[in-house]
Amino acid sequence: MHETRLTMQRTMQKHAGVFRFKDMLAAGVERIGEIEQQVARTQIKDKSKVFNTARIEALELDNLIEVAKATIVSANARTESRGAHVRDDAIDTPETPDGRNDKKWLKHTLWYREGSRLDYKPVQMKPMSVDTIELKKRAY
Amino acid sequence: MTNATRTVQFKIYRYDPDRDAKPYMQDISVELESTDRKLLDAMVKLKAQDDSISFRRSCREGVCGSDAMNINGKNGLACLAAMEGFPEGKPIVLRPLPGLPVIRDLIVDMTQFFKQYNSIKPYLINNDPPPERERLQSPEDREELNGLYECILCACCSTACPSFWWNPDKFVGPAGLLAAYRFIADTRDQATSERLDDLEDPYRLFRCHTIMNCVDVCPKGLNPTKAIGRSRK
Repeated sequence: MHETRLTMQRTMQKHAGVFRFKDMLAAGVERIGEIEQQVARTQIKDKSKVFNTARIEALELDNLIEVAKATIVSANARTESRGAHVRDDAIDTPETPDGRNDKKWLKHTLWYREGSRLDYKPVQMKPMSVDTIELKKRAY
Repeated sequence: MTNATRTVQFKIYRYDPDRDAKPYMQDISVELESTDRKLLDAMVKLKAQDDSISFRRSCREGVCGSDAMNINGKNGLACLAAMEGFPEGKPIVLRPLPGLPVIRDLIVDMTQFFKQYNSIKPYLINNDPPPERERLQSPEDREELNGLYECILCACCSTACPSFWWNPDKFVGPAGLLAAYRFIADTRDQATSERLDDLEDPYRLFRCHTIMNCVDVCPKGLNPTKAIGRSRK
């Protein structure tokens, strides 16, 4: 359990860290898929009914691997830089400032656990109570 | 720094009411690397060996207060205890916080501790209508709250206090009294006299005999005894 969790943490750090790279992300999706198989096979020895933290951690790991998968699959699919998602292969051009491609990627990512698939939905650009903020190159 | 592994011995208080007739001390050792800097790192590795070893932990950086325990006889946070600070060749002895009922291993029932904390009304009381923006204070008035507001409620202090061991149901204890004075000293709080009346009691405030164990163990370097002294004035 401990080893599997550590492998997952290190894989995410290495493959989907602060600065992201095309090849690393693709390889990371594979790795996390493998680790997911390991997570399904983890066991705990502690069978106590009293404050069983081993069980809590095992349940947490089930959730963590799901979030890791959603994160890395979504990041791998999003071939641009946006906010904290910074890709090395997203180039700064006038059309894509700082690698941000609004034409293609101004949309929310949706992850579905069933079928492990991605979907997208449009961004609400007209807030109800405040004015629309125009898209522009980030200047801070 | 080398990355060599070394073996560290532990003696850990174990008790699982589901399995054990009575508590016992478990001897266990763990291989550590130089990157295992804090006691909590070692404990996470111990739990990897034996997943039944139970303790609370969360932020691993001295902010949440979850991993308070009795370390070689002194209360402290496992995440702030540096491994290099322990004498070599001697087992590190871990016990639950003293004076509170043990739920399992190093996990204690904190109900009594929080009951006392809640009894001092640990929130700002101000009956003026809320202003447009924040309730302001002068920098000098704000200065008064330093050393009071930083408490993380880990319970190291109250469970190191003989007066709290003796009367956990009647004596508020250092953590609660520090919090009480935090609001007494707050210029924005309007319940100062009610708060003082509430503490005016042979037990609630005056069971403190300035033993100062609380000051000795506080992982945040706070001084409940001083706050208690000021409340008494």
